[in-house]
Amino acid sequence: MFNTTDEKLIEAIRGNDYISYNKLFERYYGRLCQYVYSLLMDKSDTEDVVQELFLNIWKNRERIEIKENVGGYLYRMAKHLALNHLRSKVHFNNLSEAQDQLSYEDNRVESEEFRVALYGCIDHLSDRCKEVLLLHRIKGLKQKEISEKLDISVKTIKNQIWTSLQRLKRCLELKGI
Amino acid sequence: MEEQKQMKDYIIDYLLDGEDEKHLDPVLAEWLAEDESHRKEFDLYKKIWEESRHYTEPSAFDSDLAWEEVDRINRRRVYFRRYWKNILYVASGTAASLLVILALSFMGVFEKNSDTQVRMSAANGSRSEIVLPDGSMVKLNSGSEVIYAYDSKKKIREVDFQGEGFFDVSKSKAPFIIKTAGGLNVKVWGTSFNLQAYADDPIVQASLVEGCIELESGEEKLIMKPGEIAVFDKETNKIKQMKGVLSHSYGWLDNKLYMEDMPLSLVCRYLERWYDVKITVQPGLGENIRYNGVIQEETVTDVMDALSRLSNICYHVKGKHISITSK
Repeated sequence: MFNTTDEKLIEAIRGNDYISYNKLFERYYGRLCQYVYSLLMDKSDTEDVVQELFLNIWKNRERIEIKENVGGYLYRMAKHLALNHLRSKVHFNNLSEAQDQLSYEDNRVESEEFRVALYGCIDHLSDRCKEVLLLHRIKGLKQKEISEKLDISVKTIKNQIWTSLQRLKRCLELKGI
Repeated sequence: MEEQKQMKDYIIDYLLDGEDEKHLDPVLAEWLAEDESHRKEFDLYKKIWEESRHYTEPSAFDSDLAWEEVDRINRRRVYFRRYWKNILYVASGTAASLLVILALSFMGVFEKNSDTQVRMSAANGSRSEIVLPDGSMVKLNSGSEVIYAYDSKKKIREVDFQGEGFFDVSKSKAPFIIKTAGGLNVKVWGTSFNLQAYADDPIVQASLVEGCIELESGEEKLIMKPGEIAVFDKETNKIKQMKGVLSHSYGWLDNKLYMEDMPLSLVCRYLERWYDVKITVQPGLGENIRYNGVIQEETVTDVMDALSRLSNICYHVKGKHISITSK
C-alpha cells in the first residue's frame, strides 16, 4: 500500500528529512487521533495531544531510537501523552472527577493493542455495516430508532450486526489478536 | 445450521439489551457451558461490542489543517531564537537612520545650491536606511554603499552605487542617475525600484515597482515599465528582461530570501553578506545543489540547518568561517 516503510521514514527523519516527516504525519495523524479520542473523549484535546506528539518527534528527531514496530511506538507514545494530559487536567478541573476518569482510563488502556486493531478493522467495514453498528454503539440509538432512521426492519439490523461481528472477528484473527 | 442461527439471535439479543437489563438467557448459558470455545467466542463479541463504543472515523480529524499547525510551530521554533535579536536590530536600526536623517537635513540648510556629497554604507552583517538631501530614500542591504552628489551646474543627481538597495526616488526636474560598478547606468524618474549591483556579482538586476527607469550601458538601452525585471550581464554587456515575481527581488526588505532554482553558491554569497561570515563549499557542490523556496532570515546556523534539511549537505562552523560538505 505504501512505497516506504515506517522504519525508512523514521530513518530519514533522523537525517533531517522534513518531507518524510510530513509523510509519517499523513500516515498516522488520523489513526492516532482515533485512538487518543477513545481515551480522552474530547476532540480538541485529542488533536492537541497528537499534534504535540508529532512536534516532539521533529524536535527530538536526532535522538529518536525505535527498536520495536513504529506504529506500536507511536500508539504507546500517544497513550503516554494522553494520560499525562488527563493528569494535568487534575489541576484545572474538579479533582475527584478527573481522578475517577483517570482510574477508569488506566484500566481500559491495557487493551490498547486490541482497540487499535479493532478500529483498523471497523475502518474497513462496508458503509452499511458500519452505519448500523455505530448508530447503536456511539449514538446509542435503540433498534427501533435505527430501523426507523434507516428504514430497515429490526431483523435486518440484527443480521447486519451479526455480519459485522463475523467480519470483525475474522479481521482481528488475521491481525493475530 | 438451525441451532447456529438461533444462537446468533441469542447473542445479538444479549448484546443489544441495555446495560442495566442484561440477563443471560438459559439457552445461551447452556451453550456457553457446553464448550470452552463457545465462551471464548462470546467473550470476543462482548469485547468488540464494548470497545467499539468509542470508535470515531479517522477522517473526523482534519489532517491537512493539523499539518498546517504543526508545520507552523516547527518553523516558529526555528525562528524563535533570533526573534529577540531582530527586535534589538530593528530598534538600533531605527535609531541610526533617525540620526542620519537629522544630520543630513542639518547639512542641507548650509549647503543649499552647492555640491553636496553624501556617503552611506551598510557593512556585511548589517543594513541601513538613508534619506538623501533631495528627499529620496534608499534602503541598503548588507555589503552596500551609496555615494550621492548633486551637481548644481549640470543640475543632475548622481549616485555611485555598489551592492543592493531599494530606491524610492523623489520626483524632480533634475535627473537621478545611478552608476554601477559593472558599467551600467540607471536613469531614474520619480519612482521606486530594487537594484542589485554587487561589484563581485556577474550581473546587475533591476526590478521596477513604479514609475519609469532606463538602463543604459554604451549602446545597450532598455526602458523599463512597472512590474518588469531586467538583468545586465557584465561579461557580454547585454541587457535583457527576465521573468520572475517582482516582490521576491526585494524580499530582503522583509528579511526574506526567495530562492528560485538558486544554486548553493549564490545562496552562500547572500549569507556571507547578511551574516558577515566566510563560507567555503566543497568543490562541485555549489552549482549542483539548487534550492526553491524562501528563507526567512535567522541566525546563520538556523539558515544552515534549514538548507541541510532541504538538501544533502552538512556544515561546520568555526568562528566566522563555515564549511559545507556533502553528507
